[in-house]
Amino acid sequence: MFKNIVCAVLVVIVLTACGGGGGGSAPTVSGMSATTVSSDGSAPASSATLASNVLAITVDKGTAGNNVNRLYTDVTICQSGNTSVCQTIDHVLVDTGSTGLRLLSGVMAPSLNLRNVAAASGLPLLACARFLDNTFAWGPVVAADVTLGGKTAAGISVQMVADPVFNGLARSCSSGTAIDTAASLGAKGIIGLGLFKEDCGASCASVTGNGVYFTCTTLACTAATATRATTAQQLKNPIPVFASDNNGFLIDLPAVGSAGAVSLSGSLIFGIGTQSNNQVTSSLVLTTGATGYFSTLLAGQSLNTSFIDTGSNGLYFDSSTIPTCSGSVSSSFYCPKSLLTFSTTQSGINAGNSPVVFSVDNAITLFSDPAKTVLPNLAGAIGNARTFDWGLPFFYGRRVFTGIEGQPSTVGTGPLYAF
Amino acid sequence: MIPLKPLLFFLPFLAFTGLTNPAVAALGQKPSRLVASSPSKVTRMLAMAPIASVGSYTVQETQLENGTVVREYSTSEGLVFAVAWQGPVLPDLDVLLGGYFNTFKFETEQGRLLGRRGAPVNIARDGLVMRSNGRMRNFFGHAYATELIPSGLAIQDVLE
Repeated sequence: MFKNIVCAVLVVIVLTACGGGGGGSAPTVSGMSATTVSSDGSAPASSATLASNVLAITVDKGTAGNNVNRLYTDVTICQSGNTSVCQTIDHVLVDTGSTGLRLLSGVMAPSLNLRNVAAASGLPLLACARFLDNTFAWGPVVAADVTLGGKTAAGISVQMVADPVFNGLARSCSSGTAIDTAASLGAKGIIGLGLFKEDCGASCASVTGNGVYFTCTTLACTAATATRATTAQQLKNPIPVFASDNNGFLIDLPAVGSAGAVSLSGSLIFGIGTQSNNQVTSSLVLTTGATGYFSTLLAGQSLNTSFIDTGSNGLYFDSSTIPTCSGSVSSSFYCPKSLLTFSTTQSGINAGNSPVVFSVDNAITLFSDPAKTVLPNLAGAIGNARTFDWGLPFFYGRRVFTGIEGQPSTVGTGPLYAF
Repeated sequence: MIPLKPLLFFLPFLAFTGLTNPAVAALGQKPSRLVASSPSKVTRMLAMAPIASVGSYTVQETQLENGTVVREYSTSEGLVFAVAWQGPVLPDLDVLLGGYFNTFKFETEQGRLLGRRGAPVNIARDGLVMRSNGRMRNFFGHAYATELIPSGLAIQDVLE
């Protein structure tokens, strides 16, 4: 019975997908002045209410029909040092669980003509990101000026995902499913804004077979081989590269009723304690150490590899008391008979601890209205007794600060969270 | 904080050997030292700890050059019944899962279709149990073939 309901929901969702996002005319470029940001970083005319350190963020259906709880923003990229060749790309997924900007090559205007970053060999540097769900991002590293709201990270490495020139070498990265279209990704790219400065860090600068960076073996590039990449060449969290408001960020999304919502708008504010709009009013600070994990106390169990991640679209944790949904897929969501509420406490490697109350509702009921993409009580099993994955619903109605590694702020030096 | 339980008979890693062998073996196959190479993969082995016998099974621990540590748990007949990993990059799961890779592929595809996005992997189907977790730079997980577990062995105690 449940199986049929799930399939019916799926059909509705997929049909919706056919009408939304995706297609459209070929992307083109424009000058920086034609986009949203003036060269001095002051508030753009088109959104005069936003301070220069504010980036508008949205939860909506994105570029795929079955997207719920996915956070998007606009990203402007320009040729490095050339503000007359720029493109603004909408529906880039905001992911605090990865690092670096990865854009689908198919949404990038060919006339952007971004410069390839060269490996030590002098041949193109290629990047590989493998994600948990058997998808992977493969493509060359290019240099660009990346603008988020009123802030620019100049000349940073960006991945062009699924660039046809290099797609034939994708098996060097993974045997999984390549991220290659906006329809399959549900976004036009991923902007990784997490606790770390690079996607790999020191190990890729010293180890050849690092599993992340590759280069061509010849000028014709018919094969790929592993290579080192300096931290300057690696994909960057753009925030620490900003000239100011660069020690972290605040994600500020409004609360949502348990019935959910069609969409949601909020702000991603750069800096911690650097402006009037990013002061930390909570005294609850969690420092995580180099792993980025902290501990969640749930029902007497200490889940010590817990994390916060906008890129996860639900609250994922194990429970022996909440029934999972019946259906065709074992990796299912929770389906309690009625709304359940739980209390937890978070603790970092510092003494700080933060109480968090959350609720879990029936996923099949939540999915029954395909127009709703904001589902605050969506949760599912994780299959690990030591982890609580606090996905995007954690951010609804909460001001969550992320302090970046090595960056000092009014609440300490990252990696840390405050909320 | 390290999800992999320390090996009972763990010995220090060997120095870098420069081996170009493939990383590890697959579920349901012989352990890695006996398996033919997979030249399409560039993952290199950094070091391999001696095989440790723990009652009814043996454990082979391998540190890949990329820093990820992989363990293969083998039956007394020499078949890998479980694998576990922890480290900065996900291992080549097609190599680790062998014939079970298609179940993993199918389940993750279905999960994405049904709205599970960016979430940890939690599979129990067609003789495969798999948990894959973490975030970029810090991954951990395990997989096992239910029909290959030595009788009487509490698999969760072995892996967690």
